[in-house]
Parts: sequence; C-alpha cells; structure tokens
Amino acid sequence: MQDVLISLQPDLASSIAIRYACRLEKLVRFTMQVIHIPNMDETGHSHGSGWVHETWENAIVQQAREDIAKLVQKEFFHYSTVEPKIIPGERDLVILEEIRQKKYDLFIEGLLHSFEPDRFFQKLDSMLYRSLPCPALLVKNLVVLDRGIQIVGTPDTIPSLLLWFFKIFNNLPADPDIFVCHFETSWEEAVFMENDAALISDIENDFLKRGKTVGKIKTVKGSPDGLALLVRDHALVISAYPQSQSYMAQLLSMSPCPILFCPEFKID
Amino acid sequence: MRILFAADEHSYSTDALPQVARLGENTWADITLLGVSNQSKAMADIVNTYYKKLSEYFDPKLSPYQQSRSEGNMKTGIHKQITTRIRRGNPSREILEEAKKAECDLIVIGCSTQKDYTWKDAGDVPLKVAKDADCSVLVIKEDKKINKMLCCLDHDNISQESLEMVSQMITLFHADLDIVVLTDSEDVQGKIEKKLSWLIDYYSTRDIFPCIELVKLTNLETFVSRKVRWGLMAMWMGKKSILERVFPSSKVSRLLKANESSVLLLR
Repeated sequence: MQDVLISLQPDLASSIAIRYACRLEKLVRFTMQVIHIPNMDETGHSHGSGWVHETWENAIVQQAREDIAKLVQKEFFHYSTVEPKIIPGERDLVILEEIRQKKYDLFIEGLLHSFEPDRFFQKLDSMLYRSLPCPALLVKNLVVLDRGIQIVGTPDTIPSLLLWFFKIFNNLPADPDIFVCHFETSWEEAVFMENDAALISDIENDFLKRGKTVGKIKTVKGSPDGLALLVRDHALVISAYPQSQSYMAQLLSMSPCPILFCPEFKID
Repeated sequence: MRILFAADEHSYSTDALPQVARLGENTWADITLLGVSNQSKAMADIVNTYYKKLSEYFDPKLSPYQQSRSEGNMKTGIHKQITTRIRRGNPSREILEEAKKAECDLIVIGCSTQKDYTWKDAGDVPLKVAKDADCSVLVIKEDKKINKMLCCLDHDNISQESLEMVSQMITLFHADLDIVVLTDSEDVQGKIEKKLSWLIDYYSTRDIFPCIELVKLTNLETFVSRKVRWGLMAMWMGKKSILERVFPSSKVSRLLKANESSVLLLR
C-alpha cells in the first residue's frame, strides 16, 4: 500500500484536492497523511519573545488544527480519525523534510486551474517541485475518475512514466491512453502522425509483462496551443516534471485535469 | 415558468424546436410559440405546424400539456399550456413586447450559422432580442453540437433560478459544464471562492462535476475568442455582474460575435 502526503489549506483548492484524493483512494488504496503549514505572516507578528512568542505560536497552531480538522471532517468522515500534522515553518522546506523522513510514495496538493499560467509555472519552479523525491499530484479540478488516465510525454520520457504508472496505479482497472508529443511551434493545429513502431512495441510489451493492456496510443505534433484541446478530458494526466517555461509546461498549464508529475530518475 | 419560443419559417427555428420541447418536458413550463411576420396567414400555418410537432413530442400519458390528461396528472392537478401567437411588425420589437406581456422567464430563439446570429431576411433579430430582453435568452445556433457549456461566474449574487436554468441546459444537451471565474480583485475572488465551493456541492449532488477555470477580467475577450471549445456559453448579465460593466448592452453584440457558440444570457 502506498503512503500519501496531502498538503491542505482551508481553501477551495484544498477542498477539491481532498475530495479527489479520497475518490482515488477508493480505487488505488493508500494511506493518507494530512499536513498543513500555517501561514504565520497572515496572522500578524508576535511582539514578544520567549514564552510570549511560544504561546502566540501555539495559539495559531491550535487554530490551524481546528480549521484543517473541519475541512477534513466536512469532506470525508472516515479520514477524521487521522490526526493532521500542523507544522509551522517555511512551507516547501517543511514538506520536503517530511517526505524525505517518512519516505512517502506520493505528494498531493490542490491548485485552481487558471487561464493565466503564472501560478502554475511558479509551482513548477518551486524548490519543492524541483527537489521532490516522489511524484506530485496537482489537483486542479474535481473530475470523475471514469474518464480514464492519459500519459503525456515525449518519446524520451514515456518509458520512465510507464514505470511510475505501474508503481502507483497498478491497481487501477482503467487502461491508460498514451499521448506522444512532438512540439512544433510552426504548426498551430495538432496533426496526428504515424506511431513509432519500436516505441509502440516497447509500450505494449511493458503492459503485457504485467498482464495489462494499454488504451489508445496517439502521436501528435503541433504547438502547445494546438495540442491543448487533446489533454482536457481525462481524470488524470501523467507527465514528467517539465521545465517551467518549456513547451510541455505550456501544454500542461492549459489542461484543467489533475496532473501527476513524475521524477525522471529510474525506479525499480 | 414560461418559455417563449420566437420563430420564423426557416430551418434553424425548426431545429431549435426539439430543444424547446425538451426544456418543457424537464421544467413543465408554459410555452408560447410566437411567429412574427407581415404575412400573417402563412405564419399562422407555420406556427400551427410547430404546435403540432411540439404536441407530438410529448407522451400523452405523462404530458402536462395534453387536453385529455391522464388520471395521474389529473390527481396532481398539473396542467400547463402551449399557446400560439402571431404578431405583425418589427420582429425584435414584437418578440420583446410579447415576452414582457406574457412575463416570460426565458426566450428561446434559433439562428443561422451562415451569418452571425441573424435571421434570414430579417437581420440581427436574435442579437437585438439577446441584448434588450429583460429575461433570460437562449440563442441556439443551427447545427451547433453542444457537448460543453461554459458559464462565466463573476459575482456571488446568483439566483437559484439561474442555477436551475444552467442545470436544465446541462441535462438538456448532455453537456459537460465549465465554470469560468472572473477575477478582478482578491476581495471578489475570496467571496466567489465561497460561492464556488457551494456551487460544486450543488452540482455534484446532481452528478454534474464542473471544471473550474480562473480568468482575469482583462483577459476575458481573449479567452472567449481564443478557441471554440464550448457549444453553449452562458453569462450572468445581472446588475451586479462585472460583465454588465465590461459588456454593457451595447457591447453584448460584440461579445456574442466573438464566439461561435450558442449563447444563454441569464438575467
């Protein structure tokens, strides 16, 4: 069973993320630990030091604990028995430290989908995403899971994405679609190309070895804008961590689907 | 609820009729079929044909529109009307007057895809009606398949009626719902976030899972015109709407022309 860490704030993005995670858990089965990093800046600064500062900080942590408990309880009762971790500090560092210490298999958080990609790119550029030792699931929308999974990559990244897919979603009944991208900014519209026979054969063998079948495999060339319409309608998109201003990042910024970012290093 | 179906003799009106029937079937609204023409005799025949087609659409045992209602409906006392009306004169003015007089909640009007939101031989009647009506207006483009519906949410004061109207359209067209949240300040965004959370709950209990997207108000026109992703675009045009400020009624035409979808203006 996978161990999952989910980061929550008392806001809509987190509310969507935990709902999606709980639906996913019903299919994949994992243990989920909630973490919340209270924003000390929002609540003002303590004027004192020593025990005065400590009392102020304890009060904030207690308030945050109640807020997050409410959110978790409101969304899903059966997780209310799991005590959320409330840890003050620099958010990225605290989460990264927690993931490294407890060796979580997956990190989940919410981010509302936006036409302006700035916040999405900031997320990709963050120290957390650049350093994560495990995949991160960024939930942008609450999507019904029967819409299937789409693995989006280039011929270079697809093999490692398949390994992550088998590691984390091996129990999923759905056959994932594979979307092989060739970015050509001069082509505004998406153009479907003939699949690379060797790549297809490798993909099919990977699935066959595990007694599974792959969904539709499509190879497409075009600009990120042109391809965007083809990555909109799945329950989950799986991709490698892209560089923030890369064509792949631009393409994924336009997708409203939850996105699983996988590290590119090899896994067993 | 009362629906006014404003029609002429062309194919886009005939194509829109089944949607009126399905709306009536879902909402059990009173329906007025209105034909506007200076040739009253010919128009009377056309409206009668529409009436026959509409009546045939409903199951006589279940329909609240039949004169000889079934025992079941008699018990509940549900009896809704389909009325026909013919008017002479300026089409958009006559449609608006009829809508006002009959206190309609929704005007449904078909239009051609050949030209932008026009009626053949009568110009931009659908545009004028959409722009000047006091009630909600659904402009259905001929041959436009509606798989996705886009709703622009720009304020937190949204009526239950308009939410229901959106639900009806989703059910009617078996469409997915995209909700675009217009943001122009952090304060508004905070309020809208609460409303949005409520909306997600509201729709998810109806097995509708809207896809949310934030758009800065300054980028709205680019967003709307960028790609034709939706078959139907819905906008709240109430007094508190940011849209009303950005797109005052004189500019509704511009917004409508900026996209190729059918349009639902919620008021």
